[in-house]
Amino acid sequence: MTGFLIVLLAIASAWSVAAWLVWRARPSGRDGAARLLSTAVAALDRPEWGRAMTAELASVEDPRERWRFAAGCALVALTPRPGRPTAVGVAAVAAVAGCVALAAHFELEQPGARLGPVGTALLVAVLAGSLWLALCPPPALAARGLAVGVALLVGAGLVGASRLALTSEFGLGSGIFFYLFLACPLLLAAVGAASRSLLAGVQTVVWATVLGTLTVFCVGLAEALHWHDATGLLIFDGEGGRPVGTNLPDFVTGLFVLPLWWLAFGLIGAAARNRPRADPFV
Amino acid sequence: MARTRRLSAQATAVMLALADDPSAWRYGYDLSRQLGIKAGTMYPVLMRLSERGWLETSWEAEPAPGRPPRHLYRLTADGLAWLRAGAPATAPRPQPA
Repeated sequence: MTGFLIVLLAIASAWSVAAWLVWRARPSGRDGAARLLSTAVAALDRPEWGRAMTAELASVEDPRERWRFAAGCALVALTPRPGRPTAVGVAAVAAVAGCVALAAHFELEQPGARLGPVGTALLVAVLAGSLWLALCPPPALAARGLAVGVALLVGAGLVGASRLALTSEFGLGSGIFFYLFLACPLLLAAVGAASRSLLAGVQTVVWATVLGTLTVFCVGLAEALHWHDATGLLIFDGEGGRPVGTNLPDFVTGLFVLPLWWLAFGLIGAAARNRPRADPFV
Repeated sequence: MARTRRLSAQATAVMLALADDPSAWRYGYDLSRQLGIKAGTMYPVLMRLSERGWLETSWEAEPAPGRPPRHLYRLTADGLAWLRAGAPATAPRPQPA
């Protein structure tokens, strides 16, 4: 219980910092409605229509009506529109398929792999959300190709960390923990900071987080089999004496916790680099 | 192919409103208020009609002082022809808010 509270506190703290930095980097504007619209149109994939909405808002005087108009326009940026699948989207679909295959393999073939209703619901919700983003992303979350590279790096790093931990005498298990909870979020923060704008940073870290955590689930479960064969231990915490299938619920929890943790760091990186200015989203 | 697809009730209402005076340029916000269509629906409709070539767009030549030029819309000849062909005869008009 104490461990759970510490994780919760750490995630809440990271998100507080991220929210403060994003708020600091928000666009300037006449009022909240103008700032909301300015943020939304920056995320819109059609600049001319964004300018049209902004000009219309300038002619609306009533504060309530301004909010109503700005919120309506913001919806346009957030509402998914069916379009051609992107390479990043296809990669995400493949990653989801890999997760389903591995989860099914563990559930059906490996001893001790019992997710239960909560775990199953969590897994289905995360995979369905990832699939939705892959197939029908809102214009505000346009796919960024760099995310695929980051996810591959995360996967390769996990294999490296896993094999390194297996061959070293110390830190069995803790190496994976530090890799996932320290190195990966720092990588995401660096990716966010390297982006040319706050919007590009947010888009890249969202996609990198989604693809990265799906990759960790697939690669991690495959490595977990290798670990158990070699040492009889669980990969996440190095615990022994438990069946290999017990890794599945651990990784489902990771599928929920890791994105929360990584995304906060990615946003911190993206927002910290973009100082307040007229329109940081452009 | 897009030309043969059915229009939504809102899109048809926008076309009919613009057809009231085909030569006049209209603002998106005014159309939205006249037809009781929210901005979140109106702009995607305007975008789609423009992509179909049924809507012509322009920027205000002389904006109000201190304000950016507004976007203007009116029907194209193709848009008018589609209306005159009677396609929207069965489409309901949304009620003004």
